Amino acid sequence: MSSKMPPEAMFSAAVAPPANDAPDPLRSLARAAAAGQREATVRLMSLVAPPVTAAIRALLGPKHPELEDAVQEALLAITSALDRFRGESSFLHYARRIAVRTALAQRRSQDQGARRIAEALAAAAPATTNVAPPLEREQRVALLARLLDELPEGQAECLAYRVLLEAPLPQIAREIGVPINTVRSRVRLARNHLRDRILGDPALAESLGLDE
Amino acid sequence: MKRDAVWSELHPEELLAKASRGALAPREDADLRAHLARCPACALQVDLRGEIDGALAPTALDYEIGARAVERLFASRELDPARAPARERGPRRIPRLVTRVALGLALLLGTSVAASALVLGTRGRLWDVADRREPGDPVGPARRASHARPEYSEAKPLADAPATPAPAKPAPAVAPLAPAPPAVAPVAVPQVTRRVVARRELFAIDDVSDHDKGAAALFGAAESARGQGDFAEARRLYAQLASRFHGTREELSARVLGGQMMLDDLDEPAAALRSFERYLRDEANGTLAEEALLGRAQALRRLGRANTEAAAWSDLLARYPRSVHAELARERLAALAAP
Repeated sequence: MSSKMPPEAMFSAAVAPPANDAPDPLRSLARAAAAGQREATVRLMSLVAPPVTAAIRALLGPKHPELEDAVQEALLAITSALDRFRGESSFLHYARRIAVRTALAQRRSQDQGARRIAEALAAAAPATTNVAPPLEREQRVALLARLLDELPEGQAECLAYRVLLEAPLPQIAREIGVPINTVRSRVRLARNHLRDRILGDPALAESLGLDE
Repeated sequence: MKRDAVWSELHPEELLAKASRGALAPREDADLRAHLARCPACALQVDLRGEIDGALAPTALDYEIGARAVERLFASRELDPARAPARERGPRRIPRLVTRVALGLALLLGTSVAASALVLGTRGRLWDVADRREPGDPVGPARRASHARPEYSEAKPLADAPATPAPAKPAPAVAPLAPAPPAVAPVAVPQVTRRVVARRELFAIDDVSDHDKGAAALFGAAESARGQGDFAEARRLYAQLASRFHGTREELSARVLGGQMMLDDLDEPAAALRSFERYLRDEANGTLAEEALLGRAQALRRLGRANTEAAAWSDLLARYPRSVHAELARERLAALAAP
């Protein structure tokens, strides 16, 4: 990517995937950043920061007290992984994958006691109706994130890539460095858990809008 | 959602992937619908697809938080290996003057260009801050080039993400500068959407060469070509996979996926049948055996070999009585048995 490219065009290139036959618009910038060009690194991080933030916000929630730190951690991790980007996916996807991973780790590192208290308070809240209303978009995605918390780490990671980023199984296998059958197995077990969990909790199914 | 349904332990990943590409054949669409009616986990993925697209689209708040994070990242010299890791320090906050100016600009203009300025307008400021070095503490390319790269790799397993740093102040409440992306209605019937197509492109492997790539890369390239409808290229890559990486997991999987492509997309049932049978010969109990059995039966049907087709459906039912394809198998067996 030319360094003379207008900023607005650069930004658009970052947030919008390239056309079908177009090269990844961030690839050359990523290479320059990996080669140690400071300006390229800053620019690259500025371009991917909004979608990275969006991915973390979707998993942590917009009011999570550690949202900003998680974003910074993700950007730091992306910067540290620049020289490992080999262009087998778009750089934006690469960055988002690290963001998802960071957000999942953040969720798992939360104080378990605080989480239990919050869940207990939510459970104790008087129900105004017997039927839980379907949740709004962000709430449903947040509910999915909470369900991911219940899964073993490897399963949660694979299912998050599969559902949130719609990554194909071979790509997930390649990116996390495990055989494709392992990924297939993890995704299957994760789906089985979610299926049983939702079926065992009619209110959850209703909240997710899956009660027909 | 029916709770008393008989469950298949399998979830149709291929069908879900094809649905997201809008590439389901009518029969596949029916199969997927049948599965979704019984499996809330997969139904949730399909149902949330449009919502996740919206949730992953950056909002004005994401622009602001992202810009601030970049500012903190570079200003706090966390890229400098001589400094302690970020997790050992509290976050260092930088005056938000430029961010606020850009935010004001965005509010005034109310356009996505202004929102872009929120990010990009900080660039000069970021560099200014980053270039403000303390004596004896340079932060330059040479230093960063030697920075340890501990965790993330595109091809290797990701290590655990860094530990959570000290709690930060809650993100300030900022009214959205631009309207949030419209929520997309839950998708009952898989359809191609612009976002889905765009995301497919996002994941496309567009620079895989034929040389010096492993089986996984070649397999991924073939899948990418197939996903984009370039079946000739996919066939070429599958063949190359078979010749160069015979017996690998990728090559074995490609026998089934290639067979499906030859059956559904290239109308070559004889070639598809050979591909499915090659898989079943070597992986009789493999993870794709059910799909291979299904493909074999469908290929035989297309070839008009009724007797062998019936045996193939029976074989599928015997080995996978709870298969999502069981109903189809029984229907075909009934039809074949009819006078």
